[in-house]
Amino acid sequence: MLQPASTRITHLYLALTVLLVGGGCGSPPPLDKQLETLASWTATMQLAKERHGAGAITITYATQLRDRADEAFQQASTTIGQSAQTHSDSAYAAAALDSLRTAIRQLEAEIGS
Amino acid sequence: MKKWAEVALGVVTSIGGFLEVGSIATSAQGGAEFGYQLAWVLVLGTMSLAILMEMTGRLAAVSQRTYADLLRERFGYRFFLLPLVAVFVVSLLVVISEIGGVSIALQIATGIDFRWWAIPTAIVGWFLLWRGNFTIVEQGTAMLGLVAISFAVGALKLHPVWPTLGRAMLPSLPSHDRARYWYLAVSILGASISPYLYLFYSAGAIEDEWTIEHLGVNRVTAGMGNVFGGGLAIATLVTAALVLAPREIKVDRYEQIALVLATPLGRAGLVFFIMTLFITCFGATLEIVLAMAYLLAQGLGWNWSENLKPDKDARFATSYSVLILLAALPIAIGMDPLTLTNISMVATAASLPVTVIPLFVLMNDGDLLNTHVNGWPSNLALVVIALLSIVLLVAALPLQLLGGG
Amino acid sequence: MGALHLSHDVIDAQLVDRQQEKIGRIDELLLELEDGQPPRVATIVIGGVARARRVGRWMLALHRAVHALFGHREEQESRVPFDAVRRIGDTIELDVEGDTLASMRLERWLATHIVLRIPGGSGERK
Repeated sequence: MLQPASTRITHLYLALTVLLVGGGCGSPPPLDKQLETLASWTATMQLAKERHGAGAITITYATQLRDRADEAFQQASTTIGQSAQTHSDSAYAAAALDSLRTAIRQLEAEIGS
Repeated sequence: MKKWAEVALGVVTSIGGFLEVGSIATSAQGGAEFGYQLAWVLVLGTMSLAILMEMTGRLAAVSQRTYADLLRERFGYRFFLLPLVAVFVVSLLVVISEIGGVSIALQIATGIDFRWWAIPTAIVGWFLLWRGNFTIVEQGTAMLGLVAISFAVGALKLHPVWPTLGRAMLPSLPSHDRARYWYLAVSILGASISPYLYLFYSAGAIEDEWTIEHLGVNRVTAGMGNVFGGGLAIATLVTAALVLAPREIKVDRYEQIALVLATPLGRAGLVFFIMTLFITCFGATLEIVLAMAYLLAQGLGWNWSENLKPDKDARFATSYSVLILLAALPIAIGMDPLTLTNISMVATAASLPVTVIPLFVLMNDGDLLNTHVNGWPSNLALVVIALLSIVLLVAALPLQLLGGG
Repeated sequence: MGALHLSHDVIDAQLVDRQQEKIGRIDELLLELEDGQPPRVATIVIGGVARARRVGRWMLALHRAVHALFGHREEQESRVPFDAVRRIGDTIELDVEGDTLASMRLERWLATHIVLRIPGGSGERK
């Protein structure tokens, strides 16, 4: 089916806009990505706690990991609300944030800060 | 006997030259997100780099001319601007990332924020370039860079599943996150095949006064050196695949990568990681700013040599001095080194056609190479690399948008 | 020596002076046109303006703008008679003193005003 050229060009621009916005120019990442990131930092905290317990990493280094996790936590807690559409989404988001907070506290207890 | 010393040295140099901020970051990300699956990309990248290095080294040893010199003379100034600008832009991005890598290493060791380390790193680097000679830059970083072998030790201690790793040496399609997979593949190729590596290597052949006698040394250096260097990058991927992937840890920040060695090797692992990141990134910083100054000086016909005192090649010496200090600024104002690294590796991949395709013309020029022109297997390999580079150019931007997050 | 290919062997070739110091590349060649005489290759031009002119008008404008920014008035361009060519090979040797060329002004200025003021800038081999 033939379309007028102007319509095709408009579609092209629309597609390009979707691509750019989807590419992460400004809008927060989708919920599943944010949940993955939170889980990743939670696991990082648990690994750091375990490695510190085994004497493998210094307090200096563990503290830096804690700080980076804290930044990820702060960022997610401001943006994840916008990405959560339904009640169950919000529940997942709250649980993920909660796990990370707990993991950060446990690492802090381990390194005594 | 002297020949073997040179061979050994050359091999060591390419190990030190291969593993740096780009390979460490992209291999760790690849291993964390896709296990062993991206190992084939490292094999492809390593083979391509070895072939390009062998050719630029052979070209320099036989013709006594550097690649940048010939790019200007044989293709004219108009064409030369293309590789000049492309290599300059991507190399500047890469060297900023390398200074970021050095700064992160110092931050992990001391706890002092990375941005404070950028300017001191540039000043120490500049001092070494200003006072030191080519041998110091090349061999110093190469010898110290041997600490990178700790990645191989770490990988072995984690007991990789060899058949699975072996299968990953052949290309396969991802079961999830296709855009991210190909994005990481392009980043890994950009980290492996950097134009600065073969421009530096080609200028180095002239600095080290290579002649036709060195063709054997050249072949072994390019081949064996890259096998070892690529092997260490695969070891990095394996450690990430065995430490980070099972725990579903993605590498969002550089600091997380140190865990890949601190897990199998304990406290020593953390220390080796810091040393490896510091030394290889510092060495790469020196090599990249030199490669950029070589390109400029050889292309425009200035006096150049890292073995001359700066007043004998003032424009060359000023170029590397300005470049290294300039490259420290983005890190000093706090740009995230990992984001920068990822962008620079994709940009590098996209820049390859302008330095790979002209090589095909030069490597078949009997006036330059006499009987040492490319045979058909070399030409075939170069055509494949050139096609690959065109695919990378086309794919880089869309993948940065779709898989960069 | 037989025929010389201007575009292959001469334009863009590396130039060296009497002391074998690298003094730039042949950025442009000028033909001399005189009444009743065949045209002949008369002048070698070395310098950024000649290079920029080869790329296009926009490059020339960009080049001039950059130089204006640094307050340069004179064109830093050298014109050397083709008769000064002593040898043509991988490099082309000119019977000139590199230090006297206008196109080497930046090199001299950097050497005397910057490099020599920084410790370690001069001396024998490193």
